[in-house]
Amino acid sequence: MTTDFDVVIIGGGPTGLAAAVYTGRSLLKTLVLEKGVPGGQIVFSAAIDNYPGFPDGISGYDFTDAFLRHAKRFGAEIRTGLGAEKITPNEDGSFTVGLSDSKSVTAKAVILATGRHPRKLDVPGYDEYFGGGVSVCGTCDGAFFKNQPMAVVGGGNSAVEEGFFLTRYASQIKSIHRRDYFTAQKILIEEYTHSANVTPVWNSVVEEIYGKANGAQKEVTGVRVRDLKTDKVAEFDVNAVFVFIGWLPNSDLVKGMPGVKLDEENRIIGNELMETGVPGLYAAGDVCVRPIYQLANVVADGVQAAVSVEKYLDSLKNK
Amino acid sequence: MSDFVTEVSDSVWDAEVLQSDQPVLVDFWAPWCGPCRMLAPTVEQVAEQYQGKAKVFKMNVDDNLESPAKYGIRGIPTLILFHKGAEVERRVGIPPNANIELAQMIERQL
Repeated sequence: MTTDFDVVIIGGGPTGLAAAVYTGRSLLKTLVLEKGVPGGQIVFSAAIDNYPGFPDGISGYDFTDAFLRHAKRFGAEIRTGLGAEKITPNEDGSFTVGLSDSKSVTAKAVILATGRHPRKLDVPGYDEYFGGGVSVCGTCDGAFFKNQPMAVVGGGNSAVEEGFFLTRYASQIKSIHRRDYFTAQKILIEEYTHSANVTPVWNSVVEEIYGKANGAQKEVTGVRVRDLKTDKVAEFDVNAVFVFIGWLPNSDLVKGMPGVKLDEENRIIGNELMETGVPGLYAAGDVCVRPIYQLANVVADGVQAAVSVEKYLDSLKNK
Repeated sequence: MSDFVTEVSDSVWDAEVLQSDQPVLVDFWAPWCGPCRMLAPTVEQVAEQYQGKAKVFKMNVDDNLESPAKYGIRGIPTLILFHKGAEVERRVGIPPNANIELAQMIERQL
């Protein structure tokens, strides 16, 4: 079996980069494909405060930069802005990975570390005003709305953490959530709900985001919200709507592939060795079914996937 | 410092961007925007690929207030392609497959 690489890692977030550190140290010829930016979702984090070993916290950018340098130090080739479009298992057990530039590469093993992407709010105005006040990144866009009213939508870890970050900029935050409590880590909830400029809007969903447009320039001016218990509708004047309502797995590459199992939410069902049902194809991190989605455990997933690949490739040699 | 992407400022905006004969891609960014900084190497690759055919600039939205306001930048990264003095296309956020996506935007103007 002659291939371009020993292993292609699809996704350059914490899982993929952790895997690359380990495959590199195992002297496996490694390619990491990242269709967005290295670090994936963690780059959007202003401060990572729960990764053990960083008592003062670390920014998503600094964390990713260190991780990247670590992976490169052991020889991984990392291509950014270039994704995988197709994975084809070959007859000899190798894989051909089709790339978004219409080229392809071959590898003896593939690790899927494609992660997740933020769920969109399926209401009028979301797409239209995206970048004009609608955002999924507080650290990127909060500063554009200094002393202005904002809405934060969602109630999990991301919503509460990002919401708290936004309190430094916002004049007022309407924190809109479909339940009447937040489901984030306790310390995050404390920080957020004790901020003077945060008003929870419980049991409520956004129905529309509206604003004004001038060609490509869009500006949010408000949201319409429905209370699910009373059915009452309210309108809030806000200049920004930050949306954190959950995640969807990036599992399209293996959807329908014989041997790969997905759950009802399209997350990959694997095992503790990160194996899928296809020999040589591994899946790790956020794209998989996990009880929690935290940085520490998806990093560990990447490490396990790399070790499994190494053992798999050894077993091929001994055949 | 980048070899192929230079910083542009409000004071030279008209001369460098609007009066350019070549298509001009401007990457609006800020130092506090992690995703913007992680995207920079990809923008750099595209700039190198189109060296001599298109210009690629970055604009720091903290240091420059006029142009970002004029073009209604309310989220970064925002990438805008200008040609013949006018905006042609814009992308807000991290474009998937940015290497290909940004190249194609430029190709459409060549």
